Amino acid sequence: MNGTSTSRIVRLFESAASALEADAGGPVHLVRLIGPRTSFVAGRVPDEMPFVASVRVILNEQWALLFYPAPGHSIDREKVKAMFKDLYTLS
Amino acid sequence: MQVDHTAPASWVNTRIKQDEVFKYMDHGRDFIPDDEIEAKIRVDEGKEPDPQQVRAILAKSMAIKDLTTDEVAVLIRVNDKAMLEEMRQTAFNVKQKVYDNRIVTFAPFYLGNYCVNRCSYCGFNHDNDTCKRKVLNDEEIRHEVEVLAGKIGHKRLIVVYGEHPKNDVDYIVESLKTIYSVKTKTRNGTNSIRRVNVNAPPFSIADLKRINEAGIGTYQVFQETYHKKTYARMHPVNTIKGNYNWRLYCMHRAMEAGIDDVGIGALFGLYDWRFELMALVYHTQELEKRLGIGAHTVSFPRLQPALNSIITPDWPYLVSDEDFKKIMMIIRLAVPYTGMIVTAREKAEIRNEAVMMGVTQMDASSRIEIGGYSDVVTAQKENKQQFILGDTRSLDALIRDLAAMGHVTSFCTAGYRCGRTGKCIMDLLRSGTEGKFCKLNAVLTFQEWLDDFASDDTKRLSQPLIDREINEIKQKNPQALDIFINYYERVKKGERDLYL
Ligand code: SF4
Repeated sequence: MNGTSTSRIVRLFESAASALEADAGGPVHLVRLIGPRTSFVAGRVPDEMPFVASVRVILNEQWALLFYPAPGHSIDREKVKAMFKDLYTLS
Repeated sequence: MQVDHTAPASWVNTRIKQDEVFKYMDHGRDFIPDDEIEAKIRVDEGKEPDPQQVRAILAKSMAIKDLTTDEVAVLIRVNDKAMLEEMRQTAFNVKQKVYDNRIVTFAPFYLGNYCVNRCSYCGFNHDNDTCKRKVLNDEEIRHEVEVLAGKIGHKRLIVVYGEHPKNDVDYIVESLKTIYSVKTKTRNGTNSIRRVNVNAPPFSIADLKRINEAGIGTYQVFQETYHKKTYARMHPVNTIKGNYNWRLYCMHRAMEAGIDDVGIGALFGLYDWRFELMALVYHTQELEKRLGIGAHTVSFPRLQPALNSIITPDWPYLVSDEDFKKIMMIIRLAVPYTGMIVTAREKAEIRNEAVMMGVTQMDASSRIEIGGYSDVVTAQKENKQQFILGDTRSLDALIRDLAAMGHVTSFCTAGYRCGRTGKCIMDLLRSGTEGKFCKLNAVLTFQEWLDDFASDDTKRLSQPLIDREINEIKQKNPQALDIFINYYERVKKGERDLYL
């Protein structure tokens, strides 16, 4: 995935971020998967990050979303993936 | 007999991509204004600053705000003993506020000592015929990592590469894969190297992308000296390292290549320490301003005089212990949320004091000769090392000493594996939130290490510290308690590498 598609996925993420956060009840981050490293790319970093095990939804071999859900919120992986279906056409 | 280790001119001459320097420069000017820095450190030189002014600067650091270079210049002038003690105490308090009572440990791992450069202060320089050259192959790397992870218990490395075709980007990528692939059995569980930071020469953006893809932690390059005339004197112009700006802008290229944790540093003692300290602050400010993320770590190795070196005992810029301590406290105050590394170059007494001045990372059980960890001979070997170590304490001994001072040794490598990198981690450090994650992960990884590697003495001394930390988590971070206790109990039963 080249630089142009990085900015496209960031745009895609930014347009979906508030809906994703509303569902999760907590912050959501777009991250890049690089070998053992998970690199932060975009998302809101609140002053008080919740202490929960993050839920990782892998979008493809390079990109994932990290959800920090509030108690009682669950992540619908299929719905999230559907929101990012355009990603599969980015190359 | 020495094997000829001269690199082909075709390799040397294609390293520097001048366009990957110019594009970051401001109308051909770099961001280290030598004259301005010299002028700032000469203002009121020798005159003790007004205590009120100093205290206002210290209050700003306590609010976790970066200092300006003018403010750093004021702190440099402080010589009054009582005021220096106030500075030290504030530096320590700043570190406690951001990082709490944790010290992160790592090991240096030198993979080769071939080098095409001719730095006049370095034993690995190309023209040193007494240096025994070696580069580790895959099997040798594996053996070293088995000792590092399986016997000593390290989980984090700084891997050091020379500038030479034998240590080129292909070698770096392959060696990183090998390091990450080694899994070892321990007393009660398993261990592996979980974060590899890389100390390597400056590369082009294309090469840095490849290094990034290998999943590195921090990419570290030290400018050695920021003072241009001294730089030219130490690094012959016809060598790759002779190009000051190629080195100066390597972190700009690294960030463009997608590496978001970068480590900068200066080799203190090549030129006036006050200049180098100011320049380090200029460098962090440039990274923040241009790229939105400051340095993840700052290093400040100190030169010692050496045999057959330009650095003799009468060298005018050698840094005294007192000035070295001042350097450490001012860095802590100037960039409150940046990691600070003090290596085993320094003696144990200085490193113990460094902990009380805001340092956050230390190495231990360090070997800096090539293949030194699996070598049964324990004495240091001058003709295979870049310098001589001042602190040869084992990791077990360091941990025991830190515990006696009330510090928890953290083996946490969670941040870079769960997306707390770059701007995210900097924001969390500034807001004080990262410290809370770190405490949880520090206790989990410390307990792992104690169960797997500690001597009885170290365990005895450290367990009450862990109990105290758990109590603190109960009181100050109750919302994290359930998940933390769940993870902690699992670690006690032998599960490994659990983190938040
Ligand atoms: S300091 Fe680094 S670049 Fe210079 S000669 Fe030594 S190993 Fe080579």
